[in-house]
Amino acid sequence: MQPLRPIVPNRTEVDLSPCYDGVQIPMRLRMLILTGVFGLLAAKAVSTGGKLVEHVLQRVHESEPTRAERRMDAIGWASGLKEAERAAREHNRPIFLFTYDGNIATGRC
Amino acid sequence: MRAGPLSNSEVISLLNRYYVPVSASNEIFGPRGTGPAEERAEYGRIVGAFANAKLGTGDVHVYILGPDGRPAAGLSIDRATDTAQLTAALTQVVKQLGTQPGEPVIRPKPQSQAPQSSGNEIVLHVSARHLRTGTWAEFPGENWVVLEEGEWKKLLPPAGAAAGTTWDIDPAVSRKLLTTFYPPTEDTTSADRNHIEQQFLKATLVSVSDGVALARLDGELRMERSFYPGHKNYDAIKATLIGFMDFKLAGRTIESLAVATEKGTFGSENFTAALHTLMGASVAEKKP
Repeated sequence: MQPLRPIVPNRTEVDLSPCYDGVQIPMRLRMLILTGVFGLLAAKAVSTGGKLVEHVLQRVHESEPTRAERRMDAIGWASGLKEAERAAREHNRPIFLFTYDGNIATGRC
Repeated sequence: MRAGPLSNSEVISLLNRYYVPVSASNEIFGPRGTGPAEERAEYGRIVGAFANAKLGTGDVHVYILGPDGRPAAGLSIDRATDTAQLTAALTQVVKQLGTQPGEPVIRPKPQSQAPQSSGNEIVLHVSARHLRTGTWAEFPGENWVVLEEGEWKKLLPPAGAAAGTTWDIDPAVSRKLLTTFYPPTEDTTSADRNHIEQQFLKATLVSVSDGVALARLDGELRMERSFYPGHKNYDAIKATLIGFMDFKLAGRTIESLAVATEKGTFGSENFTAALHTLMGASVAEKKP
């Protein structure tokens, strides 16, 4: 099965990756989504239930995290303690370790 | 922390320019965590070192270590969530150490990453948010759902389906999709604590164009969830659902899938939730 094309890149992905997936359609999507228009991918099915698709994509968009809600993505997090310690030694930097319960990246915490 | 200091430009700049930031979930790095043994052991060593240094410890805590891995400073979560106190502590440590500013040593990237998957799997991103402002509503909760081939094929209609055909989505598959449809609650683990009372998705084939079929999805979800893990006071989650699915009739492959709440309530509050298809590999890996 071919990899599925994302139908609604989330806002962070859209903002951080103008060439999302290396194709031009998402670049157009970026502009469309940021201006609140879902026309491009929805247009795929305009002749076959486009209003349904547009309506659902609008609902999807309303649920997705915004760039502002993902500000912590702007921090260069190490993937683990060992990587952090290696980088700290190499770059002579202190380590900022935040411990928590759940999953802060997904907001399920 | 995420909506407070970790979204603050000054804190972000301090961390990127002077520190090596790392976060550690107790579910993964803690003594009973699921992470690699060496990472859990190192987590234990750090906590022990801070305890010995009388710099404070906690499950939800900020530990600042020197480049040599020794304790430098610690902040309880009460102090760490105060941006001014955290900024002061971060600044003080780098002054003491004489740390020189520079570029982030680890390239920033989206932290919520799609799980690794094979080409035969469908990866779905779920997001759900409270429709209010304030605590627990600063950002949505997200989940990643992976449907194996044997699961996503159950979304498709019987062979020979024509416009107007309706079919019920396999309950086990719809349950897997919908059990993540809840707004942010306190989640100390990823364990599913929902009590599903009723859930279904029904599909209707709307049209076929150039071999690609469009199906409308309608459904309902009724389940109970406690806001806090381990608590017995469950609140009702009620949602009506709408969605669509594009699929190729000949190859019987799904092109796109999305489901969203038309209306959702959690107790007395409104929420919205939605899922949509994403590519198999993580976005970061696909970046040019």
